[in-house]
Amino acid sequence: MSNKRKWKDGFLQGITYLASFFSIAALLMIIGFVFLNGFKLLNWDLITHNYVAVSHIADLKDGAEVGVYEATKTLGDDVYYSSKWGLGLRDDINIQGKTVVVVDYVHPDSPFVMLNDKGVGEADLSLSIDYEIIRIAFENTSSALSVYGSEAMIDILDSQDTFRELEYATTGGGIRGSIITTLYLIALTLVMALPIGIGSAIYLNEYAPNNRLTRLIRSLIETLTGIPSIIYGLMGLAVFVPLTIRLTDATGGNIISGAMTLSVILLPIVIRTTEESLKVVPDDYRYASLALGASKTQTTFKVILPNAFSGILTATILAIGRIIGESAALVFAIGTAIKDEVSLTDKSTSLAVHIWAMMTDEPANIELSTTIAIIILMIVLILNISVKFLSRKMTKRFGAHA
Amino acid sequence: MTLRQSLLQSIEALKKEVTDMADLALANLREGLTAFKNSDHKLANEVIRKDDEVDSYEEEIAKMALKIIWKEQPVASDLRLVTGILKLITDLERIGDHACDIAEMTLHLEENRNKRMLPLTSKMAEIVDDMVLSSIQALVKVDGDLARKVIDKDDEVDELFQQLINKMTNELKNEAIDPNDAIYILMVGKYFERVGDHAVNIAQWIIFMVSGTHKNTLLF
Amino acid sequence: MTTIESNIIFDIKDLNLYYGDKIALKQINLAIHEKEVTALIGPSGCGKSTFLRTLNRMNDLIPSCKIDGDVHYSDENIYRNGMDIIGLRKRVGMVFQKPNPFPMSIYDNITYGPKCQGIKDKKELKEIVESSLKQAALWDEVKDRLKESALSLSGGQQQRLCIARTIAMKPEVILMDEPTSALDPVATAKIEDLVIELKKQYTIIIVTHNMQQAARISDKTAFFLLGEIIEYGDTSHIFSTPDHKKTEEYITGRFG
Repeated sequence: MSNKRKWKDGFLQGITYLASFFSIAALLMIIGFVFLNGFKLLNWDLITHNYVAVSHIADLKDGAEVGVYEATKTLGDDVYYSSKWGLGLRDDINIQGKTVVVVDYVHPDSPFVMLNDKGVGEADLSLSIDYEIIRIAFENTSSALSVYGSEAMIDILDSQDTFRELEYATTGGGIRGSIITTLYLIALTLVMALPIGIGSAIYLNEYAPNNRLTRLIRSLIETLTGIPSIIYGLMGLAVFVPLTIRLTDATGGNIISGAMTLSVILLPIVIRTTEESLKVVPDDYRYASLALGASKTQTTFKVILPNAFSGILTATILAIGRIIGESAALVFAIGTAIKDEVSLTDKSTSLAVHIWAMMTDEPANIELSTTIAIIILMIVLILNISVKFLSRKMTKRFGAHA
Repeated sequence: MTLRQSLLQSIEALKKEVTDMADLALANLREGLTAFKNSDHKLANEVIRKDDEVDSYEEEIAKMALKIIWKEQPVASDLRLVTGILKLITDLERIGDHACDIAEMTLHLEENRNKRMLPLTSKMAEIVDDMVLSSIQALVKVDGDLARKVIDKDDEVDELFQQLINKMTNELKNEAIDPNDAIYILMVGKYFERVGDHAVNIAQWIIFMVSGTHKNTLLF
Repeated sequence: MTTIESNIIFDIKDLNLYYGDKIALKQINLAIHEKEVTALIGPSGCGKSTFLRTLNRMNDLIPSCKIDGDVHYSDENIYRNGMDIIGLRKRVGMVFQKPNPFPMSIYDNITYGPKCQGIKDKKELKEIVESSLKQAALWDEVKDRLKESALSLSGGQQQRLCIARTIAMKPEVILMDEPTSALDPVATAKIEDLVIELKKQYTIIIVTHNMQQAARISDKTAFFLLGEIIEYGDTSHIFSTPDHKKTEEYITGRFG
């Protein structure tokens, strides 16, 4: 081999190396960016808490008294405990990043367990762990404010036997609502898209005659996969939202219309993937089944479909991934109101839209957005692993030709 | 279970048919000999009649062997067996014919006319009977060693036949025997000698079945 | 040797078959006898498999395929309007060249057909499985692993499984399309012995490109050439003194 040839080969090889380097670098950058920025705020509370922080004003119930309440468990070094009141507080940073005073421990017999609601509510209030103490007002001395810090608050509290008012807030900033919305969306969309998509694929592959009409339908479906999803969103807004408004008690965008829109987006993908996996099933099985006196339908549903199962599973996972990631279309079809109480016929946000909402807020909350991104990535990762696992189990059972 | 049941069954059936044919030929031979010894004309006619049976066996066995060849495409020991059988049934059939001939000669001899030749002819008959019997046994067991013993015995038969010729010549010279009788007795002796030769042929084909070699020539 | 001819179970008269404009079978006339093995021999592409598929209407799956002529099964024209094709295929089963068991357990493979027919009783299904596997000479080899995947069996065993699966439908006729061409000699011999045994109960029509196989197992042989039947008769006649020169040339290997 001549030198020139060697140089050329080396050059081309080097280009391929470089290309992969860039791809990997880009991937790592994205993941790195997301993780580095979002890791700080990642905690369990984020997932389980409401978004909206609700503040309450309460006062002591009649007959509630101070006493001596020994802590029933060991409290951390950063917790300031009042045995008079049975309340332990500590300093913390809330989800939004502000320094707050947070309830660490409430003694079961503490007067803080049952409080009067001074506001509009009828029911009793109760202090729970992780609630933020905003302000405690007293008769005889000036209020204890959260900016003083938990140590100071406990000192002031200990010096008093009663208080006039307690203002506190349940934790907010959580994405529980959005997570629930996302799960609803996944379930509803799958319920709509999968049967229709799989059914269409079965028709196209097994029953449709091989003529121009069928070929036309197929190319139409191919085209649909390329349409930008925001157009589907417009369609959702124009068609599905009014439809659901008419049929249910919805008043605007809602989860049902969102799921309908997503189903339409997903239909071509599901149809295509399912068709591919049906095509791969060897004709041998069809012949064997028909030769045994089974009908076409029996053959399709008892032999072909189970065999195409892993392919359909892949289609499902692709679908779920798309659902989670879809933001533009949903902005129109569901709306952008972040809700804690999620109802099917009401506006809400999926995780992706939640990110969008966070970023279009003043100021843009990049940290929280990246944290949510991490959660999304984790969900996708778990999904992928479970698909691979399920698919392997199915293959073992059907012993196949995967 | 062994495969090719069809082939196995066909070969077993073929062997049985050949054995039956051989047994019949031997039986006829013995009856012919007995008829000659005792100048029993009635028995002689029986033997002549039964020769047709031996002939029809030959056709039947040939059919069976051909069928095995086109149907089962035998190779190796199966092939040697089938083709060996195809060949030796000819000799079996000839033995049957000679039994018939001996019976016919007997019809031409008056009672007790062959008395003085009897020791020789009886001896020949005995050996030849033994040879045919041994060759049948060799066939059933497909035993090459037994077959070789048959071949060895043939010299004795030839020797005895020569003795018969000599004695006959003497007696004729001395006019001690009727020339007519002499001819028939001599012919019977010749038939014995031929039967011996056919028994040898059968033995040689049996050796072929075992080794693929016929008269020391490898046929494959 | 049978001197009494058994009933005619398939009577084909003047059958022509076209793929689009191309004619694939010309004026086929054939009478298949009951409980016999009929072999269809001939060079590749001469129409034997196509003909076989007309007997259980598997050719219907090919859209461009058209036929005219009569195919009578038990005195019924199977190509008449309103023929119950599913019913036909239950009585006329088929075993294919490449063993094609379903990717299910051995048990499920055999019960597939009966279940499609509506048989649900577990005890009945178990009996069907055992009886079919015994008839296919496979029971002893698999009776302890009925729940294992059918694909774990060897090629020869898979083919016998396919035969058992067909037998489970209690057919009258079993069509076999070169059933041993994908198998090794021992597996082939096992299936040939099986066919000889099965013909006591079923009519078997077998396409084979192996003439010696046809000689070994069939009672009647039909020689196909370029879509026509050149000669049809007793196998013993065809392989010893065929009537037609072309038959002789093919059988003796003078041309392929």
